[in-house]
Amino acid sequence: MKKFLVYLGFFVLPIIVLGVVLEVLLRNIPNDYTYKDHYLTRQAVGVEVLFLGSSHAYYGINPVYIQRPAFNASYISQSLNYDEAILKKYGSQLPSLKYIVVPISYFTLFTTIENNSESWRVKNYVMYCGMKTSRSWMDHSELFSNTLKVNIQRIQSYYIQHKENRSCSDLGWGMDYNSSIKNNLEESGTFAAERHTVMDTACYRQNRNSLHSILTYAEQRNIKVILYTLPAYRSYVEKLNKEQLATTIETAKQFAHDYKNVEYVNFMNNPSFQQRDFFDADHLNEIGAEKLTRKIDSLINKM
Amino acid sequence: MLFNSLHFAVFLPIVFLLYWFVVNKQLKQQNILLLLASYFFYACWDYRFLFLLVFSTLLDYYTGLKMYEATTEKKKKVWFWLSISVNLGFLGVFKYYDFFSQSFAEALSRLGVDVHPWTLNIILPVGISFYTFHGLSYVIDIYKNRIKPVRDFVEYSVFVSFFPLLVAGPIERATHLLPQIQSKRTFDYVKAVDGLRQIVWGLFKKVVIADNCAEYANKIFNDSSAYSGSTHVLGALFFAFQIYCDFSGYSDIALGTARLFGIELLRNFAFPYFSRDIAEFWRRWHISLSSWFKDYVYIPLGGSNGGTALKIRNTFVIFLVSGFWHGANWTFIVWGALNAIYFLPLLLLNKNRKNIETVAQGKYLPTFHEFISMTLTFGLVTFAWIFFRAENLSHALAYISEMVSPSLFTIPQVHPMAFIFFVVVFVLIEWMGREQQYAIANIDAKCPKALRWAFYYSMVFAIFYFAGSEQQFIYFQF
Repeated sequence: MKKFLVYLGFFVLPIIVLGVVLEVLLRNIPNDYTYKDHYLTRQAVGVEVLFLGSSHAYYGINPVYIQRPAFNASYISQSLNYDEAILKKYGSQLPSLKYIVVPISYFTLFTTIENNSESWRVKNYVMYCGMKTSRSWMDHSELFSNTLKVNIQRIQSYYIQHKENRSCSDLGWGMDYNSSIKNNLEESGTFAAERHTVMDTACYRQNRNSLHSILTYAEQRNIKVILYTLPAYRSYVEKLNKEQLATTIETAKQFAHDYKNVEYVNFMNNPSFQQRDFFDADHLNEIGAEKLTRKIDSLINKM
Repeated sequence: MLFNSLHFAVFLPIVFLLYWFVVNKQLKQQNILLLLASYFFYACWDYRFLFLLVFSTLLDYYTGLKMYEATTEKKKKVWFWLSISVNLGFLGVFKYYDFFSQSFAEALSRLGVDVHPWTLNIILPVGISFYTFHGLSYVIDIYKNRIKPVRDFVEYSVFVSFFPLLVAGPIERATHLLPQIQSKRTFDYVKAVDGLRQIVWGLFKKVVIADNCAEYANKIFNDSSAYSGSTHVLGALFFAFQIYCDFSGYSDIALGTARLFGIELLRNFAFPYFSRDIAEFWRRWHISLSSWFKDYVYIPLGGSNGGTALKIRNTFVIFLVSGFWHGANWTFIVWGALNAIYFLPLLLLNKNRKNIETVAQGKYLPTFHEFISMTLTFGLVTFAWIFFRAENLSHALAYISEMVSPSLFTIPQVHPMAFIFFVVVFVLIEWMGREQQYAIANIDAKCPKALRWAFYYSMVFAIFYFAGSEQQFIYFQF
């Protein structure tokens, strides 16, 4: 037995050492999460407007078009429970905060990051934002949450090819839209609508609670909240499940009615957004982002 | 808990260390640890179905004792049929009820009667086909006075639930596994190293070959109307390698894991794609299931001892039952029937035991005749796999009709050359090791240490490189 364990130890040791080295290298690659964590912890004292939400807000809101100091803390697949966690973690670092802007997309109330194919992103909040949102030990390691193939590509890209890994602007706006079907508005509409149609009642209850929590937090601190549904291209809107869409909009309206500090606005079919404003059927490009951000800015100024 | 998961990579060393360092003094404690570990392993998938497993174990344990103690043949028969009907009843309800009710409704609707069958829509408990067959063989063997029942409930439970074989076999026999569970295991360095090697080889087959083949096979089968005949041929070949590496990879991990605990399981695969005829293929593919059907279905039906009609009937029965065992779908039944049709000429011409030994034993290359025989057998088997993989019969037929269209002579639309090269290298390794228990079993004797370790590290690297998606094993659904 001793001989077996010694040989096994000799065999496994280089693998463990290599694993530790890879983990350290991977963790030291700067990314959007570390940037946003750093910004919200150290540079956000003056921020008055905070944008939360998923990729719709990440690509669709460019804070440079907001007249007040603003920051976009949204990210791809970020669900309401993580919006809530961000607010609670960084809220105390934002003494000037006056407005919180939260997107209510077609899927917002029916999914969470944990129960869709993007659940691997949870580890980023755990490792780079210091959130205690997962007990899974796999969410505490870069090496275990991606294939070795992906991890080697990341190391090669950053350390050997010296490619920039951060993809958001200084104010948190997403600049790297990277979908294999971008610009194909018809195909992407069908695909996204199918992917986003999930009438999950358990998720709905959980997301309602998160939204309640965000709105209560804001109410207690005299912060105003804008809930908004983003513009989407015809091919996406036409394929949506009517019941899920109606539930989403009615819920947002109900919240706006129940809380005095909340306003809801629906841009989904807003005619000022045309084909040229979209990356794909449910994501705005830089032109669309400027348009939407300016509209939100004028809403803020009217509140 | 999947064998190709990080959870198993943590679970296995913990159980191994407890087994050899904490409870190594007493057999009883070793068995209790194995049982607890096995139940934990199963509960990680769905703890609710653990109760079904425990109930099935209790039933067979108790009926086994009752049959043995029965004073009259009539009482013995009652206990026997109780066990058989409850076991098959569970299997029927969980696995086949929806299939029968829907098929019945479809048949009635063709006669103009519309019925809306009540379906259960319940998930199939993982491993139910495997542990039910364990229990059945135990009960039948006692009924036939081949074995005596086990008095110790823990020993019997380990026989049914031993975690390496619990969810996808090999389907063990009481005569083979129980004596090992009943005797003290001592650590054996050579066996432990061999076990680890077989685990790594199994993982390589599953993660590197099967999961990558699955990617291409799924792409082609799931959207088959978009692809040419030549691409369909490639899709069928990818599936042939997927199912082989997936299932034999699982069996390798199971056998290797059991060997780490000092237990030898039945060999389940013996390089089936190097078979020279279908009879040889079925002696080398899923051996534990084939021999189970032979011993508990084929031989009781009369085997090949009767006249021609009886031989034909028995052959069809065994292959159809085998097809149906794989799942409640007509595709599996056609797959079974097709194999029966392949097998019959050999049986009727009395050539079904022509190729018993390993092909080209002691030689580097097969003869031309052997090569042609292997290629033909592989072609027939791959053709049958199309039914096994297809969603339904019309899908299978559409898939085949495209294969025999003029588009067969075009360049395939999917051609991952680097991966195909990988598969070719894998086949060569299998060929070189075909006389061993598994392809790299004899690497110790053939390679110097440095080369051997380099080979192991390459395999480990490839496993980590491709790991991540933790794909299910195909046979979990059976």
